[in-house]
Amino acid sequence: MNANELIAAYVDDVVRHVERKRRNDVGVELRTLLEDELQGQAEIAGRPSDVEMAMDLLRRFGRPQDVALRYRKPGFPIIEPAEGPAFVRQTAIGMAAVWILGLVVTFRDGGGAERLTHWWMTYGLGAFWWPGFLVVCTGVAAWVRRRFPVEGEWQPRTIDRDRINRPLWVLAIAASTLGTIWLMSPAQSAEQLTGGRLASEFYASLVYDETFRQWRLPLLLALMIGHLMLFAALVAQGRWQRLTRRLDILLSAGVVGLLVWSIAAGPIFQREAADGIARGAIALVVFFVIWDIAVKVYREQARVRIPVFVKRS
Amino acid sequence: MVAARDDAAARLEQELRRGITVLAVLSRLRKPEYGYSLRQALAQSGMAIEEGTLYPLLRRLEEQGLLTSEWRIEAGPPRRYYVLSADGRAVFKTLTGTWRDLVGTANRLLE
Repeated sequence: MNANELIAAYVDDVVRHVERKRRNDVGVELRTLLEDELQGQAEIAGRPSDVEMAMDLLRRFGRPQDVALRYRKPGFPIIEPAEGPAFVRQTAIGMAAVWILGLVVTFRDGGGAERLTHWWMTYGLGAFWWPGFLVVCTGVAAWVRRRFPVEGEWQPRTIDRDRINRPLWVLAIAASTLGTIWLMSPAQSAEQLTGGRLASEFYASLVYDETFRQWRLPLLLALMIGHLMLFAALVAQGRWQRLTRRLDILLSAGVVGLLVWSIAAGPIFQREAADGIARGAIALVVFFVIWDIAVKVYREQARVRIPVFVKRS
Repeated sequence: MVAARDDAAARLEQELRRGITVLAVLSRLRKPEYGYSLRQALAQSGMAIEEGTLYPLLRRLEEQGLLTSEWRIEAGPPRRYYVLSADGRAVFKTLTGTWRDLVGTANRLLE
């Protein structure tokens, strides 16, 4: 292969990655330019051009794919560079969640290493739908942003996120208090509320398991009363403060821990049917409380705070 | 540490040069030039641009309507000659004014 054949092979590799309608035009021009460059180098070196000289030139020019990219019209990003780290984080968290939950489900009823193959073929490989789903979502979001760019000036979403609506919070405290009272003894509360007119089976189904009533229920009620006291203090102050925000997160985390323990440790109600329904409802509550904690922790981190070493004048 | 500083300096210098590449190219295309002759002319004026950067740039500037091109045969193989279009001349004039303002501002800042 001589120098000109080398250039021809290189140009062929470049134009393979260029749009079809421009291939010939780009190819002819690029080949002429590279031959000119080679001729110029040979004149500087004071000797005829050769394969080695051509190789040096082509290596400096770049990989054919990279050169072709420079000839292509600029595309558009599906994932904006600034969103890259968040995308990677969401991908990792989502896939880890599917894998871990999959492991729990796969090994729930025991089993040896052969179950791992089953896990990989179902949840392991199946988890890869998540990054695909995220790519589609971010792609659609990017298209919407390009197609319908936001016009007008920036407006704050919330004027003061820390201020609370007092009447609404008083109502919430009242409802939470009633709920806490109900939880102390659901069978008794239901009987008093209905005047004992319903079938005795219904009241019997709301009787707690004795172990749950003795150990986990008091702790749960203590946490709920703690939360109610926090909310009362919040209504008195009229706004969230750093301490109340953090206490709220801590108490919520405690509730999650206790609820998970309640599901895992044993029955909650004496009757199996009521117990099954309660476990499902608690799992749902745990999901929403974890979500709430995640949002609150994120907002707490996203707040702009004056560093402690800066003194206010 | 020193290597990292040199890398950062080299990258920033490259960005600085990249910023004026278009203006430099437009300045030399008030008369028709083909890719290699343009690169030689720029290099002789102290503005060496890598061939892999310059040639695709000419295409992009043509697509933006700043250059026009045609194939010509003048003492050698057919070559594609580029020259400023009417829009290109207007843009070049604007960019020249902006560049002079920037240089003045930068000089004042660097004093």
